[in-house]
Amino acid sequence: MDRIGLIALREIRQRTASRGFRLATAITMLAALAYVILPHALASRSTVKVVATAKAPTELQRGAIATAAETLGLRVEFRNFAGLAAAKAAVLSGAAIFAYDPAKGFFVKRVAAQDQATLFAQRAAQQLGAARSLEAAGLSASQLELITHPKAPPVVGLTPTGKASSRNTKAAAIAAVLMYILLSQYGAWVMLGVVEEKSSRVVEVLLSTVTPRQLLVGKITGIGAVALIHAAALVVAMTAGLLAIGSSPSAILSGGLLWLAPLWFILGYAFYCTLFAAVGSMVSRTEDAQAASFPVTLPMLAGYIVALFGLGGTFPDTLLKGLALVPGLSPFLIPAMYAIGRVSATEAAISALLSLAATYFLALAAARIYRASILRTGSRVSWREAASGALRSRRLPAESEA
Amino acid sequence: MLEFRKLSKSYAGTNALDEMTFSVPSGEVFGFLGPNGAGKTTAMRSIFGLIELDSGQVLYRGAQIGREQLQRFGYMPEERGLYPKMTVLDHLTYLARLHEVPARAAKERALELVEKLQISGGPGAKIESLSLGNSQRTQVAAALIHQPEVLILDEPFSSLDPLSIEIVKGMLEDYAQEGATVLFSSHQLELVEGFCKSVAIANQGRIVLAGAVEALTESQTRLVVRVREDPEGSFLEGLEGVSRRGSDSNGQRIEVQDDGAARRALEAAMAAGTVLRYDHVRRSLVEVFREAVESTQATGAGD
Repeated sequence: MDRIGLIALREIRQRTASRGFRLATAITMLAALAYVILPHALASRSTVKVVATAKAPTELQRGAIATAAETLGLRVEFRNFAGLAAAKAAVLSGAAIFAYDPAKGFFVKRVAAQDQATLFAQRAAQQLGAARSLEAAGLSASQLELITHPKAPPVVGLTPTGKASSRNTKAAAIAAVLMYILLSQYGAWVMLGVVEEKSSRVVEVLLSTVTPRQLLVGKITGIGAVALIHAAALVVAMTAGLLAIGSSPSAILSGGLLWLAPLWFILGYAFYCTLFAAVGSMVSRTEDAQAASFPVTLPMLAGYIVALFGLGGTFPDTLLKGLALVPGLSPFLIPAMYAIGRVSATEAAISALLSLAATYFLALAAARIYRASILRTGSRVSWREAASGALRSRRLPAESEA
Repeated sequence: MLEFRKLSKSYAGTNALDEMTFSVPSGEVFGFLGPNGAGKTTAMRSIFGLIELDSGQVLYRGAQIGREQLQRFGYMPEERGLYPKMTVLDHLTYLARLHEVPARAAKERALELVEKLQISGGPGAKIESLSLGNSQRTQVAAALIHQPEVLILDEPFSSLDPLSIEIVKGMLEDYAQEGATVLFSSHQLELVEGFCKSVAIANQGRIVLAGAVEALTESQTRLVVRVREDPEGSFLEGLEGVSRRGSDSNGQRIEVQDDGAARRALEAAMAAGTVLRYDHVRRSLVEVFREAVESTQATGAGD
């Protein structure tokens, strides 16, 4: 194994063995799971209503009540009780939204104008009355079905809206949030890893045998691999959650997110990691790292916020597309925009190429800063000093044969 | 042979290295001495390309040192550098692997060094749990892990207890005897005197004195004289060209200006009684060091 591989492997081993990594991965997996399951569970609880029946309802009665429920965005569950008194008791205790007795009608806890139970019961009564009338008129079951559930003509939009759907919007938001969490966390890991090596002075021992470029690339590769492991764990957690609620994982990852999100995570990591490493090389103490990293975290935060507001339609399309081409912002914007159909494959590809080109030049500059600053001790190296050090720095003799 | 040829380096107008030139022969332990700020650490770091020299070069076997040669160099910097969360074994194995030692050999070598250097807690101990002395021993092991041809050690004996010093000294001597080049810096001159064959003394970025310890400490003007009947040496009073330099169990130490003064001292001793001892003595390395450093002007230079 070459030196870069050894350095990367050490990073992977050390990071994955740490309690902090395991805890953070477990917590974020639980959060991802909760993000998928909780809304479903809460929505189910709030939309499923129990109707207490004093006697098993007929198909007609069930259909009428279910249709009324649909008009209010509810779903209904029938529960049969031993007589009307028991059914009424269930309503009074809050276990059922209303009680129904085919012979005596609908019973709600209290009749009120804006009350959901009252509205539901009234609509069910109207629906049932209409169904009974149609049945009395001698219509067949299929005719009744046609009347209660008519085939409506399609409504077609004249301008393309892509594949946008509420589900895709949700997936796009998840992509933006995860991108921000993972890039912030692993960017910080790169930075702190560099600071640790610098503050413990082990870097001097390492640089007597490896070049700064090998050390930098090895570290970034190792921590990047750990980040991908973490991202994969989150995808596993979300997939498990989706399967648990009976939803198809491919549905939420539609719109190209399945391959686009990991790809843009790699592009985003490549863009930011060398910058974080350069910041790490400029400070000697962990306490100074956060303040020094502000210029790097700022575009990340901007990209994240623009992505979230962009999904909500706050920005004009042209502006959003323009911002999506800006390297540094694009990792947050492109996957989200692509998921909701606001950016084409060509535009995404152009943005990716721009990001790669910017990454290349940034990595060259950051590597020079890293090389010029990593062995400097004492007070924090300012950006101006780092830049002038990088410009002055020439290839070290020991690097020439690397 | 390792050659430092006209190394110059300045920081903000201060000369850390001012055309520093000296050679370290193979097969012996070589001491690199000098007060704080003499340029020792800067010179050592320049071997590994850890600083960019303004001019000059370091040569090994007559050629400039490249990445391939550096794989055969071992380095222990002044500032101790260890991964606190790793175990001693993992840390040593990792460094050996970076020096292209195969995995199995790296592990065997690490275990051997842990045993030889008597690192308490053993190979499985986490570095953050080690005492200062054991961290220091681990650092020495890290420099030796790949059996380098050239060993550069910056203050290897600082914070080591006497037992550890003896162990490390023994290992370095063995190394040198096998033909390795061993260069180390130290402020512990008494230790250097009995340990190194040759030394170079730096001050203000330049070498002010270099050579074999035996030759540097040799002196024709230092004598010890002892007379049974006059152990206090009162016979030395008033002798022209003779200065008293204290006494020890061997007798009275004196410094003579020339051969005439030496003869006068001997004649006075013989006249005073039975001469038990009259001999040349060596100067201490501390004296040699002090004289060499004091003879150079004090203008700021830095490590």
